[in-house]
Amino acid sequence: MSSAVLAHGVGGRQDLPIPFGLAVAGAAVALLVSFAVLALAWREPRYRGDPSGRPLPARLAGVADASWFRWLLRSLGLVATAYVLVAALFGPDLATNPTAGVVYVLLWVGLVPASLLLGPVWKLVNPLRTVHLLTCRALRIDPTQGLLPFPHRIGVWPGAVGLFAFVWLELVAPDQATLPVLRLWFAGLAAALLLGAAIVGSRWFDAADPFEVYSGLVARLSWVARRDDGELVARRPLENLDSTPVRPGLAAVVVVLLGSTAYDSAAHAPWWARWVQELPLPPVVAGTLGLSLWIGAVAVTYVVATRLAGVLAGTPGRGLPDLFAHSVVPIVVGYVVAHYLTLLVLEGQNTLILLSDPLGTGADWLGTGDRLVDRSLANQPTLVATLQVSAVVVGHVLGIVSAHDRSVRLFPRRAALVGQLPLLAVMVLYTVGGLLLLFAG
Amino acid sequence: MPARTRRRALELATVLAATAALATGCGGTADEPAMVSTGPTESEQSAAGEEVTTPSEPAQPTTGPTTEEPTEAADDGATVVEITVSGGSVSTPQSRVDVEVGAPVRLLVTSDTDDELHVHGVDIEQPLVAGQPTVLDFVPPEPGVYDVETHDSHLLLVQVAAR
Repeated sequence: MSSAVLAHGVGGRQDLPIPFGLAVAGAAVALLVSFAVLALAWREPRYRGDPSGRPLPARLAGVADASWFRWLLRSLGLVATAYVLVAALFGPDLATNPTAGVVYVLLWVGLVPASLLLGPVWKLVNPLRTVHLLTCRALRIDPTQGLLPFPHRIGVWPGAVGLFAFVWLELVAPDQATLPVLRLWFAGLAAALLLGAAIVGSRWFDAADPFEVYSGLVARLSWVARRDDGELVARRPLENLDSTPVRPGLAAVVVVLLGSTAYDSAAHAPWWARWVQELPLPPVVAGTLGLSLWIGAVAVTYVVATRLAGVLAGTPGRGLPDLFAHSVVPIVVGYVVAHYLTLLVLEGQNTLILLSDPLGTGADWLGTGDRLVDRSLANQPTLVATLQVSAVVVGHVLGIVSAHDRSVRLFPRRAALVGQLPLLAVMVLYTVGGLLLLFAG
Repeated sequence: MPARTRRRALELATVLAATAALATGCGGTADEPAMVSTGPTESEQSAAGEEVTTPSEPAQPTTGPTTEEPTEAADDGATVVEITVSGGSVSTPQSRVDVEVGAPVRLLVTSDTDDELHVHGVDIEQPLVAGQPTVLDFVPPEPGVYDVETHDSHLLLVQVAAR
């Protein structure tokens, strides 16, 4: 989390740099496993994606798919949003206002564990999707039908743009934790989503809502999925990941997520912060450039690696970056856990406490107002560092394994091993780079 | 069928090996920095105060490339960090100072503009008057990196790393 966010109440102390020995150990394990996978792993594709999975117990699936349950979830989303809006619109613009904590900690970071455990949760509670649905019902029109067709080639590009807009807000925008800025940004998001949904129908949310796109992608690493026959199934996470729909712009989405997390880490390093503030540029411009630079670096390395993979394997194609994008998702999740774990635990608790008094009147609406933040995790730097490195390395291993399976599926048998070398190299680069940032950040 | 079982076993073994290697890697290295004393613990016991001089020196192997030179110490044992802000540019002897958790830190800040000094994580704020040295004392309560910033000009002055 950028320090500017912290100024206004979200966060506080940041994690210590990880010990050098731990960074080296993590990098060594990542390298070893990478080559072990390359040398020893299967030669025929094993993940079948969409047709795989074991049906959930009928009762559980029945409840999950029941209309009343879906409406219950939508109502929860609406009520929670209305509650936060009370604080956002009528609460005082102080560090004790819970809005910024809800946005940057509970929503943005909390979305990741929630989606890992339960699947694409944001789609189920998304208040804007519900508003659109209710409006369509009132006007007696089909919410899935828009005025215009939605060209396939647009894919999730709008979501990539939305995600960039959010990470820019979080990491660069001036006063991003103050109410006027948050109101303006979310008003813009609501307008863009509702307008788009009116034009092309509710699939606009799948394509453009940054939180739905993010949550849906992380949910592909969860154990729950919908099979191609419509059945709710339990599925091994890597098999689930393999079923990620390949849509145009998917690579852009993972590149924005990975690049922005790396930027956040780098921006907190004293050498980077010093260098940037010595530039004769306004902080917004310097920050925007820095963020774009990191995302651009990830984009270039990733696209070059996947294209090169195609050339080496003898099957070049423009679609390869999107075809391999799912394998970057575990690396993204590893980075996110490493960077935001303590923030979620500590500031998540703090936000729940602040939420009990949304108007700053001394009220205790939720009964959590007099709780204290359990800060024991902050006092365990060795544990935190170990968790951080483990998250990055496990993310790397899962990424390598997914990319391997996709390689042996896409590439001719003989060339599959050579073909995955560039991608393996770039993943090692991301992992070692991520560990270096944790060490030097 | 056997081929499939073998593959699965192999996958499992790979993951297990990774976990094991990581666990052993951590066992060896993760504890080290806790042993390395980052502050003057021994001297503190003999005569509190004057010996507290170079809290960052022993931590050098574990703190990365930012530690450059030792900071000063006040009479009462606080680690003193002198910071000058002029023309939007920050000068300090080092951009990150290593201290012990619970040990006092004294910031001595002189800015050429009126501003507000802020330490994240302990939420202490102090007004800065142009040209006048301002003293801000604080004690890092738990391990972590504490950013010291100016509120209006949004400059990062120094980071205090407490171990």
